[in-house]
Amino acid sequence: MKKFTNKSMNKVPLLLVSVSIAVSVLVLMLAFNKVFAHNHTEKSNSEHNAQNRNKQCEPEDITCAKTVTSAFDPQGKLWRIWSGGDHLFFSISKDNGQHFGSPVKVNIKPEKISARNENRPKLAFDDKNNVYISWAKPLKKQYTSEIRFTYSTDGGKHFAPAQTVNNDSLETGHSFNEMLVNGDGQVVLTWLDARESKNNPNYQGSALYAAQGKLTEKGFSFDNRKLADGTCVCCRIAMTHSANNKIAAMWRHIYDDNIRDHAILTFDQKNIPAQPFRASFDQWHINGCPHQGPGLSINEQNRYHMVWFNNGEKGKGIFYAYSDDSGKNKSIPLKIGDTEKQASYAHVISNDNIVEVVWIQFNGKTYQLYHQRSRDNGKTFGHPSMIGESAQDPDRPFLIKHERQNFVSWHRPDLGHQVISL
Amino acid sequence: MINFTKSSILNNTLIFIVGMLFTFNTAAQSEVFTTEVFNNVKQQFKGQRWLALMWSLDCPPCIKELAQISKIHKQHPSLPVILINTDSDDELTKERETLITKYQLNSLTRFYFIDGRAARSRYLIDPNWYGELPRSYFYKANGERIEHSGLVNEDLLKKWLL
Repeated sequence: MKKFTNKSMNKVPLLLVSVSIAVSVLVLMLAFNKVFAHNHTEKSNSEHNAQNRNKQCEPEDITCAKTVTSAFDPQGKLWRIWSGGDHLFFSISKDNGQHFGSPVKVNIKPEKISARNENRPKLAFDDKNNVYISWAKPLKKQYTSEIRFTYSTDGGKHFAPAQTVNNDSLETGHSFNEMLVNGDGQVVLTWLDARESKNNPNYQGSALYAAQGKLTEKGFSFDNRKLADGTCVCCRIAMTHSANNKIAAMWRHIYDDNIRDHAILTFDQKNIPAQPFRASFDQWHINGCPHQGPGLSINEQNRYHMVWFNNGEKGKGIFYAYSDDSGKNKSIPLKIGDTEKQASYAHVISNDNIVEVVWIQFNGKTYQLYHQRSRDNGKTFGHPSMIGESAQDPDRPFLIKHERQNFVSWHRPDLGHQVISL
Repeated sequence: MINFTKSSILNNTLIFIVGMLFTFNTAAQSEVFTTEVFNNVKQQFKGQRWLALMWSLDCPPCIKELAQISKIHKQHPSLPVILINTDSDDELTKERETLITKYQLNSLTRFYFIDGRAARSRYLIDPNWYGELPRSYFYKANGERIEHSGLVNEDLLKKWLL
């Protein structure tokens, strides 16, 4: 027994030594590998580390956000929202975005929020100063999420507990939320919904769904209805009001065998969605993700102004067109931006006869924000001009307006959000 | 006796180290994508057909393609495929690697776009690629390549790679 103990005693240090050698060798190997990898990518990694350092920031720090969404309230105050650390934050500007107040946390329970690339929280107001926010909440399983909603009736001091808008209770995809408030206070949300494909593996793409609800003493209750089958699964929707306050939506649709062109529909007088029209004919055949949704703006004369991106057989790049019959017939699409410089992520806004288009280009070194204006309701456009620059991947640019003035809302991670008056 | 014990422990240690080396090498680390590392890969595959597949977590068809690659890879461990993740977001590192592990693709050469540099990294590969996914580059033995946007069917993958 004693001997055994002695033997064991002898083996313990040997075992320790051998394990130590093994661990040391592994640590050295890992270090070597790191150094080796570092030598291969020295410049990139130093940039990488510099950026990581910048990322050590508080959740409310807007420079750490991937996306920012802005909208004017009925009083002309400009709100912006972003997410950080499973929270939503907002801040308000009284001077058209030149200065913003301190960040305010949307005081609801923390939860995951989809906020990158085409997915982002949305913000809307009614004429009674109620504030509405919607977003997609990722669930545990990949590509599953819910459309979430909250509101405030006291200017953002308090928010109602978040509720789920989609009514299928399915663990499946519900994302790319859009939201508008009608003149009668009806809140309308649209999103891309994967419920149809949950039990039908042959279902192509997603479905476009809408929900509608109005604030009552009991809060909100949303109905759900399907607007279209067979949409692309990974591009944002464009939604706006027509001149007669009807909802119009444009999205990337799947035609025939994976032709990813665009569709547009408008709700009728009874608030029923009409049959969609095909809005682009570029014949982009791709069984994949373009990750670029369209832009839609409708002016006081009910002219529909549309922008979209395609890389099809018949059309490559950003295009602009207008329609005077809700998208049934369109002007000849006008090419926007320099395709050789990756012109992408276009957005459009109209304000009487003024039409503004913005987009991003990449010149091999920096990302550039471009702007082009039409003063004759989209018939002709002036020369494009560069109005912003970013060294890193910027957020998509969005056009917003207050009365007769148009603005670009553009967020650059690490640099922050800016509002440019056009 | 003691010496024998010592040497067997040392032998075991060596076996352990070699074992760990093997494990380490078969579960290659994903690296930051640069022109230099891409050129190295091109050099490595010179004279044979291979595939560079760009994918993202935000792209459901990409996951289908990874599943197809995984299926072929299980039967052909030395598959000439490299995977390039285009999310360009350090916050997604864990999610990205979990997915790779799920599909048992750890032993393939893998790169990822540096955080905040998606367009720049894309540009290094192909200035005419706009970010649509999945994106495949089928390299011929002579170095020429054929690009394809969208999911590639399994038969074509097998035809090209096997």
